[in-house]
Amino acid sequence: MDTADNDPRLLVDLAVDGGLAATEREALRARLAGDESLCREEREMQRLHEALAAGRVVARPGFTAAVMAALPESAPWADRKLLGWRSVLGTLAAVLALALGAFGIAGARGADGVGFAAARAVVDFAASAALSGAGLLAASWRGVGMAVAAALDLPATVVFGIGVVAVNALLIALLRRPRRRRAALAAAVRRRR
Amino acid sequence: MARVLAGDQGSFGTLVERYQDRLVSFLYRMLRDLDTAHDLSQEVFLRVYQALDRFDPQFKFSTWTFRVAHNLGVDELRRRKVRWVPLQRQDAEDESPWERELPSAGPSPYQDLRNEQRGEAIQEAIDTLPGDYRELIVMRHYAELSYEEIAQLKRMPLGTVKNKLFRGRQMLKERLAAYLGD
Repeated sequence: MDTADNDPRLLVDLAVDGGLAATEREALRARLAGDESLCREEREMQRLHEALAAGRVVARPGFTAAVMAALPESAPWADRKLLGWRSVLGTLAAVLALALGAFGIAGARGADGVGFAAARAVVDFAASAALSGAGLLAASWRGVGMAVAAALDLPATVVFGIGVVAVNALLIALLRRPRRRRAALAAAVRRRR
Repeated sequence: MARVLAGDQGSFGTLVERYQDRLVSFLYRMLRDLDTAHDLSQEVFLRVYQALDRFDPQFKFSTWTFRVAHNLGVDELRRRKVRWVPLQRQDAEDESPWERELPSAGPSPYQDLRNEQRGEAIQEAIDTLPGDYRELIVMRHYAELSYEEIAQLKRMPLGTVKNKLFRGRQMLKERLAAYLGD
């Protein structure tokens, strides 16, 4: 048992719902034998379970067929795998096309050391792209660092004031938890009825 | 699920058949609209199918499916701006033709009326439960999820689930005393 509640009705509730082990059920059965109020609790709980079960609905006839008809013809995960391979192949093809293009241009100009120059152009291009990405990343981190440094440079009283306001806002948010609003609404509905 | 991932789409139908009633029942209790419950149930199965390869096997399939259903249900309620607690009771003509009959051998008109009254009283009693209790009652009795599945779905300790369900049922029992007594 994981519950700390010692209310014997909890055991009855769990027993009716099939949540007790065989040994616990046996112990409860012995306890029920001498306790009319617990026996009544068990009967009422069984009726409640039956009443709740009676309110279940079933899916319309043909529901499964409708779902199956709506499924995509090809498996989406297979498409995703294919897309992944396509991306890799597309990138490789683009690099290859770039290299071939460079070879072509250099060849058309009749320059010496064509192969080396073309390869170097492709490598330079890749290096430029990598440097641009790294530069953007570094700039982002630098921006975060500047924001933190600016916050730390604020006078101590301002930082303390912001802290007090934040703690108060947190407390107010906790006090106005949605559960309380829902309980108040349910109570209002009951009063109206 | 392994068979579906291996390309046997038909096996997904077995999963749909296994969960469809519980899913429709769960969404119907949440939204109080059988057509929407069916539409959203279909949407749940489609989403689950589309993300089947991303399923984390440390969770149960049912937990995952009902989490998707719960999220879709909450989105639908937000979209409609309708709360779980309705301010008006449902009209009798809105009753669903797919509601299961209450078990009784050859009910008399009086029994029919009493069953109908009891059904309405149960719905009203569930609707007026505090939100977290109502949610757990619906998950246990209409989605037919186990305590462990509910604990996983709601990210609650198992003992808390048991206690909340117990308290929720006690509230229901008090409100339905006229229908449950000896």
